[in-house]
Amino acid sequence: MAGAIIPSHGAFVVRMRVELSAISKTYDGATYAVRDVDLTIPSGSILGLIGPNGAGKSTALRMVATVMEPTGGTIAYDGEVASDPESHQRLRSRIGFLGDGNPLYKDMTASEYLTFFGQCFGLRGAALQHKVDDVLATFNLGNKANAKCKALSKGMRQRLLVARCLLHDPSLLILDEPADGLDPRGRSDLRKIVAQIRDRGVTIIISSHILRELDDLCDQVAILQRGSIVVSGDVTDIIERYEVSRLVYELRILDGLPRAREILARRRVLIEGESEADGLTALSLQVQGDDAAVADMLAELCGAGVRVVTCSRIRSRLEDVYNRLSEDQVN
Amino acid sequence: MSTPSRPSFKTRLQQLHGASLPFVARTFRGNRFRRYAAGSILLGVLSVLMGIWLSFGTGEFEQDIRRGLDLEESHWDRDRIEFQVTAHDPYHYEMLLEEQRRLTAHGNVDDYSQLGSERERAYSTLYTALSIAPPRGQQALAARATALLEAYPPSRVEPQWHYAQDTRDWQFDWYAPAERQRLEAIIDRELQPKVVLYTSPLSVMDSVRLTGAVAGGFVVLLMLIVAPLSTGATVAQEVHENTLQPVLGTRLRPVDIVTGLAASGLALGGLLALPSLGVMLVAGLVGGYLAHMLPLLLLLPAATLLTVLLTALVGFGLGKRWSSGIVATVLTGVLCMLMLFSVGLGMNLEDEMVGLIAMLPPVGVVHELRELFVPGDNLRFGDTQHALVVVCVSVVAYTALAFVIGRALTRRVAGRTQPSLTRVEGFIAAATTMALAFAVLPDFKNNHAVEVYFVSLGLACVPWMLVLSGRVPVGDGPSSLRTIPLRTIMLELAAYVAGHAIIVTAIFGLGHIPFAPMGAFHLVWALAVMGLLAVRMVAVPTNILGSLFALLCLGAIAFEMVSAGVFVAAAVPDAYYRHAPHPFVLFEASAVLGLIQLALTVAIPLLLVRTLRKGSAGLA
Repeated sequence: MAGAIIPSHGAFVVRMRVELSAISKTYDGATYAVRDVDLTIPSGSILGLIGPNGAGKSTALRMVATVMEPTGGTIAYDGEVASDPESHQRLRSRIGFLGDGNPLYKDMTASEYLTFFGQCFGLRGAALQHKVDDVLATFNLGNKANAKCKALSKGMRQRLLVARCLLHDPSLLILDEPADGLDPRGRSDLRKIVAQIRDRGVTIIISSHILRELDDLCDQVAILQRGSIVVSGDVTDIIERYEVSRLVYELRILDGLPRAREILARRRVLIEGESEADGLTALSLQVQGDDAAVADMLAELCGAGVRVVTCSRIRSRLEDVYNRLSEDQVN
Repeated sequence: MSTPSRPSFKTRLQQLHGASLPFVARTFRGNRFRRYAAGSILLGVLSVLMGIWLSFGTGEFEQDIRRGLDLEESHWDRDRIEFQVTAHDPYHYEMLLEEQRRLTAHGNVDDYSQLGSERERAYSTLYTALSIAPPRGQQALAARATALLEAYPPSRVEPQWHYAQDTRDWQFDWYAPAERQRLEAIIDRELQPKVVLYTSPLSVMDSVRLTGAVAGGFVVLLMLIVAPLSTGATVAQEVHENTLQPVLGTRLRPVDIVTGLAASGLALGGLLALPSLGVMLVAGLVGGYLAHMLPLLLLLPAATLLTVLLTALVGFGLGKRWSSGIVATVLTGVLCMLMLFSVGLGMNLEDEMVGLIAMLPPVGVVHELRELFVPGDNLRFGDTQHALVVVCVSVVAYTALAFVIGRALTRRVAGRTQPSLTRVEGFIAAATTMALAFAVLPDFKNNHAVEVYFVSLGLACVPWMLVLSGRVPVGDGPSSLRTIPLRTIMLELAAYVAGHAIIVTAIFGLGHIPFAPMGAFHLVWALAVMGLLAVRMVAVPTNILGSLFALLCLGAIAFEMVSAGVFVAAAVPDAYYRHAPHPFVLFEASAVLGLIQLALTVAIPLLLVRTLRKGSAGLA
């Protein structure tokens, strides 16, 4: 899927702003899957909805996608509150929704599956065929067009499901755990695709409990715990608000460990852990400051004769924010 | 406030096309269309070949079919009347001809020859006929018989002609045309039976009719079994595998999804049935009894639509728990059993059973198909007219019920918290089922008002329970958050019951149903518990104990309805049996049983109300 392009045939994407006001949902009347959620998603942004399994992410997304009725509260799309089935219907022409569970018609081919959903979105004839071919190519499924869905790998199925959501050029794309089941390459490709969709002005809501999936991708984030929003807003603002200025790296050195310890201590770098791997010493480091501080630290280590083999970031800032806020560990 | 304008007919057609296209295209995806089309042509050709084979085939099976349809009399009877022996194959024919030559040449053959036996029987007939004094108009025939008997004394008809086995040969009725015809044939052939090779007595026009009936049978099976089965199984699969969820996220409205799912089943059945339908129509126009063509063409689509939507609703309900394979197996069993039962009834519909057309959709279709091509003689003219009236009522009723079921299914597919039926839809469904209940009763004007009242009410109660349960708000939200509009629902039930009473009064006039206080008490109790039970079945979750309690309630309702009928019947002035039973009739059996009845009469409504109160946000 490397080098994938986003479908662009005559697609004029109208941006969509979504506002959730005191949204609640309960299935049993006693406990709430989602409770009093207030959230604003600016048009053209990517919102990462973070939370552990069972936090209410899927329920919240289904309500935003208008396929589930909230027990309380309202959702406004571009300022218009959609409360009746007719307005929901109109909105669905502008929303692409990939829900959880990923149900597929197993006996249909990939092409037939996309054709069916294209027809459900009102596409017809040559335009439909063109669109189907386009998304198949986009998601690198062209050679699987006539393969039955049950014969596709999990990653391919996931790509097919995302492809289905883009057939009608939506203004709002809602992806519930889209990376679920994808291998590292697939996840990387998905990130590229999502970024390209965002570049076209589509508002995207993406949920995941794997925070590295969302790091550097989202410009908005909302952390959901036990059905309630713990924090939400611009990613940078949140990181600043929670003073998450440290980055966690793994440093692997061949020799010069005592010298390295001296330098790191002087630069106020916290060594979280120390281990041996592949004949190398691996240090887990919390670095205060930005990437420049890391670059300076590495330059000093190398200058002092410490033989550094690799230095890689192992945890995102979002993960730190989340860990600070939550009782549960994620991922 | 501006009201939204009603969509035009063209817009509605476009909506229908837009809703149906994805699902129909999905059904016929790949090369399925070609495969189904080839299958349908094969069925059409098969119907013609089967029609010709059944019309002119000389085998026992074909004869049995023709005799079963009253198209042909038994060849034994024909052989007897025409004094002949029928051979069913050329070998047998040649053998009989050889026997005939020997019989002609030597006077007899052997003890066990078929022709010899026939001649002995003929001789018995001749002898018996002359032992009875002939009526005045048959003297000439009797004289000819006497001459033949004299020419053939018993010694010429060896051996032992009196061993003829058929008791009919020792009886003769000069007033029976068939008997006289046999006697004439015996005399004409001078006791030498004719040998014939069997051929079907049906004409080409008969063959056209029989072909039409076979093709019509295929159409009925495809539209009333295959189309509903396909729809029900598809809906069950969608629900079970949660594949409706992404479809609900598209531009299609829930009503479009229901329309599309129904259209896919109808399209499959329709495509498969198309050539057979063509054969049926052509045969009907060429040789059918056209008075039954229109009723059939109205009843078949209405029955198909109702069955398709009903199975879709069942598939939706069962699919939540069972896989589509299990649901399809259950539906196949139910639909096939229903069809077998309906074919049995519809092919031999008798006077008292005409109303069953209203109760079971396939009965009317099968009956009209038979009347179109091979009409039976079970119904008198008046009953045929009655059947046509019931068919017309059924067409309207099935269409109305299909509309209501479609609306209910749409709301369930949408998954929102709301009743499956609006009040108006509930009234339409209740009135329709009431009309069908009256239509089921045979010739009810000649029955007693009390019988008509209680039987029609009893028949209508089952669908009314379903209608009332459709008036309870349900959805993906918790039942404990929903307020149950119990008062409204019970008032609606009261309106249904009142409407039914008004119709009975309109038919029979005032005063035909006596007022019996205990009868009224038991009836009101049964109806009230029925309403509460209908609400309880869908308003709050149930467990095994709850299901058993529901069964107990159903039994109690049936018992109390019968009790009410007994009290009212006993109050009829000219009643044969005027003994009014104990207010709680089980006291007449034993005191313990009576006390149990009394306790249940109090406990059941209280328990139902308590369950509803506890399981919901409240009763309104």
